[in-house]
Amino acid sequence: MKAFPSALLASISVVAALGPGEALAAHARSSFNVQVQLGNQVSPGSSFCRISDMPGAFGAIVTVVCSTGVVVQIDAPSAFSSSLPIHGGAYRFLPPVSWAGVMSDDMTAGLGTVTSWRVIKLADRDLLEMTVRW
Amino acid sequence: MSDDAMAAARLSAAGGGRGSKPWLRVLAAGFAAFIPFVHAATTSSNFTVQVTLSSQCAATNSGTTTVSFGTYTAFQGTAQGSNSVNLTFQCTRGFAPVSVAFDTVNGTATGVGVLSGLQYTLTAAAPTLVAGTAATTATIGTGDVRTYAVSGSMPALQAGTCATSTCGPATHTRTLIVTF
Repeated sequence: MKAFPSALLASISVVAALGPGEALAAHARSSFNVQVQLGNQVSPGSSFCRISDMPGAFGAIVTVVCSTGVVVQIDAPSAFSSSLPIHGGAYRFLPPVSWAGVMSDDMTAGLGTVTSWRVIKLADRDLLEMTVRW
Repeated sequence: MSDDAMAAARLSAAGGGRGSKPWLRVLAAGFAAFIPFVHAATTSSNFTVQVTLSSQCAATNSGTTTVSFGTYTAFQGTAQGSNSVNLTFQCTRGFAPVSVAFDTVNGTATGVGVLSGLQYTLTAAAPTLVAGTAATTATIGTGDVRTYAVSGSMPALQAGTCATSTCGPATHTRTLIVTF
């Protein structure tokens, strides 16, 4: 029996390795566009509130003026509660504090006062963003 | 050949003539009637008509369709759906593609992609089939038409990427690949 040339044997091996489906595999392609518009715009009902520098002592009365013209009064804190979500009252809570600036197990809680906040009104939810000083 | 026979042949070639003898006209007509029957015969030879059909599918959309998600508001609480577009392929009658996938240029083969920093997922529904018509001796017939409905969805609570209050509409191209 004659020995097949090595190249012929190799070709036969490749064909044998391919299944019928693989040998006939072909593709048809249809392209289309994907489109989106991203909106970051805050709805007109939102407001941005600002205050002047907070005095360093408790007992001060600070007036907050929002971009909508609404005046919100922040009274002096009267209790060490974590939060007093009362409109027009003092917004205070205990934020976690790491004096070294590192979040670690030796973290303590410090009394803070909300100095500014804003409500972002989105299509189906409101986001509250607060700045706290302590 | 006798004189009468030669005269009959001449009359036959000339279509007869006035004043010719009646029996000569009958003889000429007899010759004319016998000639076709002498040559009528058929023979046949069979042969084979052969073809190898290579089944195919081809996209038949004209122009680009758009899967539009409309306007997505950052951090919105509900998923954003898109419209549905129909992508059609014409295939050999009775021949079904084995699989479909999306391109990997602007996303993954499973249809996931990112546009304006927003992740989306495309879905190709099972195709609908309109059977073609078979070829006849009068017409060439038509192929099977398979239509894939492609739509997408964007998950909720995404921030997106946009330096201004509104970006877009942003667009990129995806491709549905049918393997057969």
